[in-house]
Amino acid sequence: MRAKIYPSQVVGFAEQNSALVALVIVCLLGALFVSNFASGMNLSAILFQYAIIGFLGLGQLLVILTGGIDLSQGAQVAMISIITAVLMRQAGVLPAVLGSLLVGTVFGLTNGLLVSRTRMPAFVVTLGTMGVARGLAQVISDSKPIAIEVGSFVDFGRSTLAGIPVSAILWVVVSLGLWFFLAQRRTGRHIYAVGGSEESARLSGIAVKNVKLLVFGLSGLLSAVGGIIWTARLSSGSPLGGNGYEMESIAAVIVGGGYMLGGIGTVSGTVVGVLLFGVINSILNLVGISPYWQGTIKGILILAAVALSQFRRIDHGSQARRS
Amino acid sequence: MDHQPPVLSMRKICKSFAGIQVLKEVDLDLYAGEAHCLVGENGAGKSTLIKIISGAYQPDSGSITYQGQLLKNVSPHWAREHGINTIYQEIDLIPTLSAAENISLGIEPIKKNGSIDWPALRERATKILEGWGAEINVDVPVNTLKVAYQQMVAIAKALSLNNRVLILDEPTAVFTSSEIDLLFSILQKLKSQGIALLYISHHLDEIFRIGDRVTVLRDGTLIRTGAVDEFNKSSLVKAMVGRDIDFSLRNGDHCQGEELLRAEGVTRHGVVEDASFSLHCGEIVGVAGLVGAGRTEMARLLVGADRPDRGKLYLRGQPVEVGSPKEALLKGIGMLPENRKEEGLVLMRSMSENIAYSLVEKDARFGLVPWRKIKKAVQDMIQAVDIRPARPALQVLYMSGGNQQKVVLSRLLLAECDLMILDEPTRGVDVGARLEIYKIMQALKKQGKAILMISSDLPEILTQADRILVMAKGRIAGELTAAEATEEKVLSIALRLGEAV
Repeated sequence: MRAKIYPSQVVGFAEQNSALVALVIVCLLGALFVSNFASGMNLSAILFQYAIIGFLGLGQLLVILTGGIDLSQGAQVAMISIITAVLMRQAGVLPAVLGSLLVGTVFGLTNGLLVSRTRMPAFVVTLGTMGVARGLAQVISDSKPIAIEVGSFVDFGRSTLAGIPVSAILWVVVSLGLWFFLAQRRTGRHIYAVGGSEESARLSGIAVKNVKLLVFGLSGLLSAVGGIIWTARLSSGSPLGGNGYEMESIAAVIVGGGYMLGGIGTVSGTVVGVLLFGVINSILNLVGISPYWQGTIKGILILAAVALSQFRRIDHGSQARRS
Repeated sequence: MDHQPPVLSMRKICKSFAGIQVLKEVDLDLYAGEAHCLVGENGAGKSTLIKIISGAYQPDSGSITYQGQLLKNVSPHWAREHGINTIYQEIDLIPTLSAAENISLGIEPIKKNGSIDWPALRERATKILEGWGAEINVDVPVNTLKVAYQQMVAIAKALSLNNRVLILDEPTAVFTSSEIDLLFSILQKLKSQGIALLYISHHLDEIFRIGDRVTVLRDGTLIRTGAVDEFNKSSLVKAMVGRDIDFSLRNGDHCQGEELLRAEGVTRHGVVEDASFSLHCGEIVGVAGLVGAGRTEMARLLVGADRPDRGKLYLRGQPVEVGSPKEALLKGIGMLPENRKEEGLVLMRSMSENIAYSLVEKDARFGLVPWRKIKKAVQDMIQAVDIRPARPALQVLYMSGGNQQKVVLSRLLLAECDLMILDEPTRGVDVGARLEIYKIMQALKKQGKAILMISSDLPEILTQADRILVMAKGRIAGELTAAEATEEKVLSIALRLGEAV
């Protein structure tokens, strides 16, 4: 016998997965009313662009789960793109990629050390390192873009598999790995515990400082991956790259059900959040809305989504307290 | 049980905060398998004592022996790892994780490949909880569970770490009677497993139900330790109260003026039930009751900090709606909040700014208050209530508790309220400043103001108030005049002895 689905269950599902519902609705609207939206070219363009934000979003999710924030991601993309370009010229593709991943990880671990070992809040620490990363990118490049002529690297930035960008496929694979890590491994669960209540986690014997170090290190590594893909796609390193990407990654985590104070958030929600922003961005472009207005519109959408989830949370909170 | 040495033994424990001695040479022994109850009035030093056992505070002097070993500089972490666990009223769990995960947090069972063994993790939790007969959903976030169940999850979590001593601080504050039955059957099982329980409660019937021995604290000193059978309710109450401090300033002339505020059936579900009373000009009304009886919650309804679900307020006979504390202030109702550092003051700002906030509400012209006016008002206040040091630019952060309280009081005075609600006006205030605050209150009363004073300090209520409302479990359980009130009477209403006997 088939299980019966009650309307309340449908509402419950929609509430739990509001970002997914929004994504489906926006995609349908786009397909119906915006010409060229549903074309293969456009969809693959969305993925090319937003796989980069996707990697940043995964890193941001880890940090936000512990109750932190990483504002330095966008600047890291710029710094990594310059480092990739410079190493590419002097040493070749493999050293450039490995070196960039290493630099990103060390940069993230530095964020993590500062946050976990001093009493500085993550907001302040990463605001500072954001300036450092952007500044280094400008110093190294003398504030000029550095072109890359290595064919194999540039080709990677444009390659597709069955019409799907390889970078997006990579993003999905990493997302699955991260989902497994967060859901099935001790360390993954401890990331949730630290964000849920740092003091309780500490008293339960969880090495809170190391957990924080880890999430920032991973955020740095994932930002480096994003930075390398960005560089390959544009076939140049630029000190101006990744501007504002940290805002989109934070927004994707929150819209996907994450909680700024930590403890709540999922990989699937973040992936959906990233796609939602990609789709909205594409529609705004196709409809011909000026880029100046796009920031305003996206900002309002973020506020609306977060406000909505906040109301829901307050509602649930008061119910739990009363019962 | 006395043949075995105690699991934990404290000798001559002393502790003081900012020069006020909270514990004086207290001795306590805990034996395996006993339920030892700790009783005393609010402020008797119970919380400080358990915080010393659990490692949150270090004693100034005295010794603690645990399992034959002398303890020095114990951290909360060490205490937990070595089997001393405390279940506080504020529950110490990860709110967003499930009961099953919380119970195994940090010691999750893993499979061969290193991933979490979810079935084993669930089973560990259900085994403990079902063994107790508690039907708790172990898969949903614990913050969606009832508080009583969260409490039990916290106990289960403590037990997963080879527990020797379990301290329970007022665990039943929000429990229904069937939940209390369940908790007690759990505690009986723990006793039979040889765990030492230290049980703190204001509810005397619980002590007679669960306790083997009882220790009575009063004003930080040990009054008596003995078997529970040696006591009955009235002798226990007598041991808890009975001290003499002379703060008597009231000159007996309680002449009620006209009615200022009347509450009829004011209710906020779950916290305040059906509160009806009236306040008159020129009187001080004390609100007594245990922590959690709903006193502060009722005050918050009067000033519009929370909205009542039901009930009416009348100000000078006219029905009023108070939508917010600001509105209350404009109608002449001011409140001195319980927690002055968080709710009463902006610690980082200067004394004069803190005092002048009420001027901004009342006397602003085009949103601005003339600087001269502020300066004058602040100077007047500093003199009137004798704030020291008399430096208007001083950050409130650097002032003593008593003077901070006077700053908050000044703000209310400046707002020219007719009704002042003072929530624990002398908490954390030294004796000298306390007397001065009482003098201010008596002077205000003479001017015809009405004062509603919430206090956990019974002698304070008995010496200052003209009438006393006693609250218990969100209700006004009784009203006494100053003449007929004694500590025993107030306490027995607050403890609801009448209904239990």
